[in-house]
Amino acid sequence: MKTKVGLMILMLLLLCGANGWAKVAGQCSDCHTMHNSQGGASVTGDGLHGSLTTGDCVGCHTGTNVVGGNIPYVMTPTLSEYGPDYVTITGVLTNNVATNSLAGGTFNMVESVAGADQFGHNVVGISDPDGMGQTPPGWVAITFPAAGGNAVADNWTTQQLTCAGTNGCHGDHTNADDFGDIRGAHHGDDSNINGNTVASSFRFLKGIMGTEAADWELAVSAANHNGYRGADRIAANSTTTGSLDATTISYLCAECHGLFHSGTGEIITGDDPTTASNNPWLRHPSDFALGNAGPVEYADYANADGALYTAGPLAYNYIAPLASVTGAAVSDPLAAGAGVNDIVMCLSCHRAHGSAHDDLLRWDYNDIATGGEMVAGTSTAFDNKGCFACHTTKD
Amino acid sequence: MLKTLNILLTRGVFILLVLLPSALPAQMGGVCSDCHTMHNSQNGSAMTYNGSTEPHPYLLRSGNCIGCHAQAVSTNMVNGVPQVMHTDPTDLAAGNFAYISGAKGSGASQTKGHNVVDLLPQDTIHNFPPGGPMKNAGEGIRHPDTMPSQFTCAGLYGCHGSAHITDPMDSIRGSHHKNSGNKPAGETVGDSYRFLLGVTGLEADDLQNRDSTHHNEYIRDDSQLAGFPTLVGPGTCYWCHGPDNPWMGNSGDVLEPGSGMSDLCMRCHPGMSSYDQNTPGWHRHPNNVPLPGDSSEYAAYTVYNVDAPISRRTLPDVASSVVEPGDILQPGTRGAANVFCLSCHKAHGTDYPDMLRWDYTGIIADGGTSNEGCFICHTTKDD
Repeated sequence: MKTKVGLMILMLLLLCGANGWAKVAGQCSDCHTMHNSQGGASVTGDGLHGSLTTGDCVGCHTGTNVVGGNIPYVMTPTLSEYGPDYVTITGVLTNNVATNSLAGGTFNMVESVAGADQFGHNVVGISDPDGMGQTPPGWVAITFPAAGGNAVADNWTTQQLTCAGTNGCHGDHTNADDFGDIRGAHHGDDSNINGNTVASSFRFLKGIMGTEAADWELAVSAANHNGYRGADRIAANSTTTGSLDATTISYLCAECHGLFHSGTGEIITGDDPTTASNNPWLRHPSDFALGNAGPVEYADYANADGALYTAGPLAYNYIAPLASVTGAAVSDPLAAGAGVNDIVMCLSCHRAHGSAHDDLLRWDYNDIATGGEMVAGTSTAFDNKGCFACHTTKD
Repeated sequence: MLKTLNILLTRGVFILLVLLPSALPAQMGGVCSDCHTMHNSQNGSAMTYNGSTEPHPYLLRSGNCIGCHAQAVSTNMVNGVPQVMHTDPTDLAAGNFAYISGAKGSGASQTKGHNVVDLLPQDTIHNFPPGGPMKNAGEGIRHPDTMPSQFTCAGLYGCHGSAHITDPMDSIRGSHHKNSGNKPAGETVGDSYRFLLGVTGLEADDLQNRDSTHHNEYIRDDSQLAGFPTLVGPGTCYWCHGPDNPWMGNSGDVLEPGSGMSDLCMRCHPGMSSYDQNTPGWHRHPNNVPLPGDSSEYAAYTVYNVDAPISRRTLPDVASSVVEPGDILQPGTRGAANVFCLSCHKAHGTDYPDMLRWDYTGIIADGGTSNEGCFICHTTKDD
């Protein structure tokens, strides 16, 4: 008897895999309906969906995130509580534990506030097309294909942004249909994030590497957060895939916003950011090491509470995070020295899906006033917070 | 009781003074987006001031100084950025380049200010600084062949920034975000008076000389500053550092920049120095010498007049209204008021020829103009 129980437990453990949260888990009916009919009524409420799902991407990924939940919700039924965040003007850190929003932020603001295109990506099924046009700012056609996948389609005049597909972020840009492009990922084996398949890529972003927080940063802290992959580049101007690391999270952004990531005369006046003076930046760096920036102000990289850098487990700033060349989730980005875990990335300042702030920023840019002068309120409220987490002397 | 009260008041005042900041911050302030753009893209449009879709160095919204500092507007400040070319009725202390173009004042004239490149056409009267190097002239200082036609806001061929760095933007790099207080030491560009490397002074927070108690304070100090490189050889260096430069300074040594404002002017206008005329019968107007206190004429100038500023040997911590003439035979008189270049001129431009603070043609001896213009110092010559 004892032997049989032991064997059953062993089999159960083996079947669960190395990471219990990696594959989707839970009851099939959480996401699927065989016939869209139950008790004489439609299950979906809005017709049939691909892959026998109860909703499209938005339908399944809309809900209220709770600790222990098994589905990441990128939007809540009502206006979500965005966090972690700083209170306007006062700079008080709030919503830093178990809020409704995850690492990617929330689409709620761009969805629920009319004309609020500035708060998030205008994804089909979530919001109307961006009133400023659908072409991504910094768009360079073809030049940034996904590793082992395709480039995003160059048809923005007729096509709105989608979750996945040829004009989406997730998947590998092969199939125009969301479901077709993401097919096999949810139930795929992502126990080893190696970028080889959509399933085994960071957050189903083909080719992108990283470490996935089990709770998607619902309860984010210096000890619990994603690990983003970055590159310690010394060449900023190349636009050919062979010269760029296509596994970084910033490269994912570059697939649509390429000019903000690379290009001759687009990022830095020269090409090598480590060369001598009169080689100024033209656009904010991404996929460059903070430790190579030169001025000592960056060595004081502050944590989310605004405390200047102190080596140890509390150093990671989950509001202004840095990437790692390995994609590891570290608690002290500066401990290993320049060019290891201190890579400035797009997500150092922005959220991928949306936020409560203009330009999908992680904080209100209008609260960032240099010289200790605030629009209103105390002069030290945002000291070492937001932009000043890295630019520690400019506040 | 009274003794106790006196003690309490004294201690209270002391505590209050300790708690008060010794100097107001001089670092620029304001929202970053006033000057910078991260990606030069906002709502589908470029964020550069000139509309360029190409980003500018240092993520600035302007590719040069004038894009931020000469926006040709009707105010002398834009989002806290001091304007050097505008139509505001009130000019900042250094003057206004708008007088040269005629956008403001009594009419355009290139004699009214410095013709800075990108801002104004080249001066057609002077192709070299008056009293300064003559380009490839037979006598005097040889103008370096690499010298551009016009001079710049900053850099080797400008006033602001480091004169050892050619590129204007690079020469000023890092200075705007330097928190140096309003009484900088002059050791770096950001730590120098108005980003004039090596120059010290007391900076009025609003950059205005308003009245006797609200104005910049200028220092008279031509001592050699530590840290500057010594003379390295012929060519470009000789032009500023001598030995061809006739501005020898009070020490008589070959010049390395001093920290006084006149020393800055003398880098380009060394022939205007009056130093070698320290005997009766000035050949050029005195510069960097005390107002003579032994003369009742100059001794009558006792209250600071922003129309004829003076420089001091020792900088006060706050602007002082006191003018204390000194002893010309003892130039080192502490506290003495000195006449200097900016006593009569403004650095950028004025509405008067020769960048004077007043109309020279209106200065009539025995004309009874009541201590204005030149007569602020020459108090008896208008009687």
